[in-house]
Amino acid sequence: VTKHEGSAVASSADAREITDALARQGYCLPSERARAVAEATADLAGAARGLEDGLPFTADLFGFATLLAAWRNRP
Amino acid sequence: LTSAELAAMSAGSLALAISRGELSAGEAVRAAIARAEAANPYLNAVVSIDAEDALAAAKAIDGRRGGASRPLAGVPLAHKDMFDRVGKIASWGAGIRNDRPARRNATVIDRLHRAGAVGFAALHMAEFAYGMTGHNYHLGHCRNPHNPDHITGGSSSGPAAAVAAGLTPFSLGSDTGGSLRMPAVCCGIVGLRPTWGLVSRAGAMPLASSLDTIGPLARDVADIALALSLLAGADPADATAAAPAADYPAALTMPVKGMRIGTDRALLSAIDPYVGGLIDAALSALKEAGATEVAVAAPELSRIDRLGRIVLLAEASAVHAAWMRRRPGDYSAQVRARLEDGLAISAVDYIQALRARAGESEAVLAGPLAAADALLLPVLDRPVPTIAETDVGGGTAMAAMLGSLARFTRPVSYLGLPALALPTGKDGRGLPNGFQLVGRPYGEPALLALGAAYQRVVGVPKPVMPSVSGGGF
Repeated sequence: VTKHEGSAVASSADAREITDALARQGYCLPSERARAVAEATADLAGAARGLEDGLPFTADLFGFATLLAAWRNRP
Repeated sequence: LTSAELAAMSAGSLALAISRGELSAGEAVRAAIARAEAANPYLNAVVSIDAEDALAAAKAIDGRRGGASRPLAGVPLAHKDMFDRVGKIASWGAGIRNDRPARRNATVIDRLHRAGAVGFAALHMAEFAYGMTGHNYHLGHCRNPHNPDHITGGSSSGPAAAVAAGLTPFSLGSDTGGSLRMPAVCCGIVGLRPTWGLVSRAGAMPLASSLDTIGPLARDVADIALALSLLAGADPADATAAAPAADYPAALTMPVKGMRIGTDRALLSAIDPYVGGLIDAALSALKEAGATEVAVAAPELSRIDRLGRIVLLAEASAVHAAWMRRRPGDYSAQVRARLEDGLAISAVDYIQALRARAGESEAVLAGPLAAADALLLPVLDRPVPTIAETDVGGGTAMAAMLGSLARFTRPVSYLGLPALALPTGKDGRGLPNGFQLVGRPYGEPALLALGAAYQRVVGVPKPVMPSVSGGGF
């Protein structure tokens, strides 16, 4: 699925790729819905891409649980 | 005690009256059932009433009088219809549901039962808890007791309407992106989203497990503290629930003099001015109670919200993947559209959003929540909208509407922080509004102390009697 650099604008090519990608997973979307999904997710993909340079290499998806654990015993 | 007097009592005071023999559990449960039956034509807040089981449980409690009293012995309660209860099938507010009755209770239900509570009804909710307004095309829309043309907020729509109308002193709901705080504010009551992981989710319907929390709604902050004292704590059935409970009722009398409430005036001035004025008045009450306002810079909520949406959409779509393949037509248009959005989130984007979470939370803890004990944020940036004006279905207006409604709640969920939603005064149309106090991880005692002090100044909301055309119940 094509991702955008912070852009919320999706092209018809993106919609086609969304349709194809979902079809490979077993989901059928009409083209107008695929276009809407492409628009909705392009903005979010931009947010994720925007993180890539700033995230420390060591950041992992368990870091949040570790952070909370550290706060458990604080007075 | 009259029916209206019973409806206005907190869970704590009901339990005390029952333990003293001023009221039997049977009388309390019968009154609760009668009130729910009378109110439901106006509110559509109740999905089902379990009169037989509830009366049997009450009878057993009345037969055990004189034994060690339990904190909720004989208190009738009703909760969002998303928790496993032995022998029952929860509706999850949906047209699709589990097809087998639960074989064990959800941990939170079990903990309340052990405290002596009597469950008497299951309450309305947004379909699969995936909606912020209280619309539901399977169950019918839930109605705000203050004005039935207006939304209750969601997804914990039934619990909020039922608590506001005095059908139950407190009620359990869930909050993934604001589902406790939004209905609390729309219905003029109190709601607590606990720190992620403080309360077990075992046996509760999942929406997005990295964000899901279970918490109470009540009119009285004291009932929030009582409920949390029974609900919080480690649970072997939920690996994320590993934190010990604190003495939450003791927090109600903690002095708040000198506690710092962080406000970002630029952010507050950007919301509807009338709602801003209501929040200003609430802040004045908090200051009258002894708290101090300090200026802080709120985090960049729109960016954090987008990260939270990635997590929410992807996880919800994973939960529903099989049904979305086999039964897409059994979802309402709005829920199906959101689940379709989630199917298109890439695994890498989802993991990046999770990798960033600790850093985003640390930044808030080192910034505004280092300068303040709690951060004050709006919940809803406008007066409570009507059911009609938020009835946008699954079309292009949906994302904009949901995004604007949830812009102050979803980021807090992503940060994993506790938040106490409190009601303001009412607006010119007689509708409530509210705000949230966001705390540090496991900072619920500080939030409860502030909430209790606030209610000592402004009072505890009274039950609202819904009425149509001058009628009522």
